[in-house]
Amino acid sequence: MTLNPVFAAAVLRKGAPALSGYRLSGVEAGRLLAVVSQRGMSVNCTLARANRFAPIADAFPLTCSLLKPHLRGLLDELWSVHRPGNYQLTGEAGAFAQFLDAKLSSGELDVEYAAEVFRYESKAWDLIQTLRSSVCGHSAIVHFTHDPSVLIKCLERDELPPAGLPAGAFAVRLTLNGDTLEVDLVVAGLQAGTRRA
Amino acid sequence: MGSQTVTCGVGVLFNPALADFVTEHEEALDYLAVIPDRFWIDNGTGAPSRFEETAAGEAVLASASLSLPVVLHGIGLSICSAEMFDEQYLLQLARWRKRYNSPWVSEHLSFSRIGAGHETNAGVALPVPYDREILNLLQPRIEAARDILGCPFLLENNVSYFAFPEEDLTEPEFLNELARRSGCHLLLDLHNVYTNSRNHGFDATAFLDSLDLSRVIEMHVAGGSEMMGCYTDSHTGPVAEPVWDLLSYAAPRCPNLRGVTFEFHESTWPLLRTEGVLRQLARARDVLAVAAAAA
Repeated sequence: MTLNPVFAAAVLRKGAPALSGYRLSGVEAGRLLAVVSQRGMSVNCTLARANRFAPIADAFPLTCSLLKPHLRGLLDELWSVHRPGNYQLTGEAGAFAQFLDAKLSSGELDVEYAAEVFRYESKAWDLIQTLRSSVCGHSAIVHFTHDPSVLIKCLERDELPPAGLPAGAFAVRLTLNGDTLEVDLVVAGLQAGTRRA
Repeated sequence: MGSQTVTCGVGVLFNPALADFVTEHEEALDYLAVIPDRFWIDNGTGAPSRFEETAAGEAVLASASLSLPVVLHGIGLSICSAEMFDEQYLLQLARWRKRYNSPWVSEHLSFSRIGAGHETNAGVALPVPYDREILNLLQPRIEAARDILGCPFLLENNVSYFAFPEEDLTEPEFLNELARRSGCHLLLDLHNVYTNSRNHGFDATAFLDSLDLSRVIEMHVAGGSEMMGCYTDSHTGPVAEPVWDLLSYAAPRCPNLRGVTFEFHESTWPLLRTEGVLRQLARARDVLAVAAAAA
């Protein structure tokens, strides 16, 4: 019930019949029915969701900021099928990345700038994973179709970037030096006729 | 490697925000408490190389351990899980205890790992009912933990946001019986006691009076915050004021107390910063001094 607020709500609403799929003693069933009606059950569900979200927000802060209006629905959908498989919750960021990648690739989720911001953070996250083996000096190039300095600056302030930024060819180089991630703009060019005054 | 001896002092539970603090303010600490799970990735019970240690993270710890005792506070044992007991995890804790010559090791009296596959996690530490059946489940597990670790094994009283009806024992009765039967010691988290007392409406001092405080080796002090009509053990910022009162009350009554550990979540570092952490440690030290003088 802690992991599944929908089930907890069903137990609260329907009572004992909602627990009929489990082999419970009378005392066990009675306890679950008592617990689910206490406000602390909602606190537990919320804390579990917050704990699961923490590694996702840590890995993809700008993506989460950009997707804020959609985020709750996306997480509900992901978590309805994905259970945390590890007490350290190490798989949560990867599961979110895989889920979001599929949504963006299929076009099911269409949010301006989301694909490139997510691509940028995915690369950064991949590089940071190399810290696990203490490998330093790795780098990666990430391509953007909108000015990354504008996108990143806005999202770092938890602000949505202005709509309709002119399209162009941009690229940043991510370099991991020790535990520091350096970001350099290496290509910046607007398409002809799209440069703003 | 630091001395294994901690007479009775103050420490802090390490988090990444404290990396510089530990180096620069070592004199404010008598020991360093560490969640070892922060320094490894557990690839799961079936993985060929289960515990993957993160060398970069451990550098700070290795350096601190040259001058400070390191005590371990595990989060992954899930000792109250009904269907499994993870000896591999205990062996990993034992390796770390040996590496850092830790004077004691603690874990939580709760469960988070669920299901017959053992690898679904609830995302939070869940409480168990205080029943004799649970005592019977835990006794051999604790005895095994003590054997494997080779040092005092402490269990931390849990925070619980709901109450089970029809429990066999009260929480202090359960903890006393558990310690007596299994030989474990207690990590008395005073903020958990305070949180439970607020949410469930009992007298925290009476709770302490009911507890066999001779089993307490370490105490935790922390702060919390309100959420959805409950007071939560969020480890927000400085120690909650009533927790200092509980520490003043409990410390002189714990004859085997060896450490008071301040814990906070790294996200609330801006509420503390270096001066704030130093203030919590100094205040804890003052309480211990008064307790020692009264003894």
